[in-house]
Amino acid sequence: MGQSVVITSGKGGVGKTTAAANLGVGLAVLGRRVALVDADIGLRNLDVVLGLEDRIVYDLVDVADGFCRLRQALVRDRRWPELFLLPAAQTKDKTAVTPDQMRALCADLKREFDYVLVDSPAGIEQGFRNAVAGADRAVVVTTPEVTAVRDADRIIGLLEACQLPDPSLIVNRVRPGLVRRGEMMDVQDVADLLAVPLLGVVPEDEAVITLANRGEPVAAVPGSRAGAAFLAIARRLDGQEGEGASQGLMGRLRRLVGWGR
Amino acid sequence: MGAVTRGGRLASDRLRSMVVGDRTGMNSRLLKALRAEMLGVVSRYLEVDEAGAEVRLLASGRGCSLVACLPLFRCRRRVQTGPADGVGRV
Ligand SMILES: Nc1ncnc2c1ncn2[C@@H]1O[C@H](COP(=O)(O)OP(=O)(O)O)[C@@H](O)[C@H]1O
Ligand SMILES: [Mg+2]
Repeated sequence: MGQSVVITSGKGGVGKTTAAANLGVGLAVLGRRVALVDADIGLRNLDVVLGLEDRIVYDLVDVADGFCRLRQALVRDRRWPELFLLPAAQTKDKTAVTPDQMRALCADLKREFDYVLVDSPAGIEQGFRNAVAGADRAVVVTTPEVTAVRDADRIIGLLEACQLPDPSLIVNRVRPGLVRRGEMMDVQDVADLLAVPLLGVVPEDEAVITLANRGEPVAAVPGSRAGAAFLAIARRLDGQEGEGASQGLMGRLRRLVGWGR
Repeated sequence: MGAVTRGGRLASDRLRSMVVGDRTGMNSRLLKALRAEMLGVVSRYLEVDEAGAEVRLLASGRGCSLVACLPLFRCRRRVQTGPADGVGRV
């Protein structure tokens, strides 16, 4: 029996889809069986980030409506045979599935996969409720910007209300140069204010954008800084780094942002 | 390092007060009113330095705390104390 993890945020465009794709790759690299679920119905893009858009036959709504079997809708990523995508429907809207249907879907997937990663749409409406319905735990993504962190605080409050307490935090698009000059919020300040454990920090990296153009997640490309960060987060999510992880993380972060210690 | 606050620190401070406002539903007008009422109550018992008084909402954990620091002019209770003069008379 696997576990389902929803990747969510308050503000849009902070890197949920990027994180879902790369954590999926990272967990598959570790030998885990992973199902990526694109719950952003009507605005699907997890398939594009993974370069799988041409292989889609059925989607999540087809499965929920019993129009096809779950197996028929899952797209296998040939680069990592243990990685599968359940695409979102592009032509429907968020009301096309219900939280109950999402719960049933995640339960079915957890029987077959070690990890079910659900990529959530932005916002706090039905799309969010659908995405969190079948989740065992939540990962909140933010950037170190005032608007994004403020919205993350609201989402964490809502997750608590949905019986999903103790989410962990990914701070994405950190720019070490700006942090060093004091022109960007300190990651630890953000984590302290939100009062949730910091799962990882991902630097701003052009490779995320240039590789996304080609349908290649950064975690697959050796030498990219964001890719290395996502691989480390996947290991932490998988529990391969124990309590020392946060110290190791802070050590790495300190080095990353150039704080001597 | 000039006298100006760096953008990162400024952002942190602004964020903190926004988050506290979101969590509590308070705003600066309500906090002012709360402060005035608190001072009113406390001054019935003690001589508070109203200008030096600070009443703040702070984020703490996933919640918030109301923190008040009310310096006193004299560390003595007022001669005529409290409603009906019945409270805390020694
Ligand atoms: N660490 C990063 N460095 C550079 N660009 C990034 C990074 N993370 C995300 N992006 C870019 O930001 C944009 C939004 O990311 P996306 O994952 O689609 O966000 P969301 O799913 O939260 O809306 C994309 O163009 C993506 O390539
Ligand atoms: Mg997205």
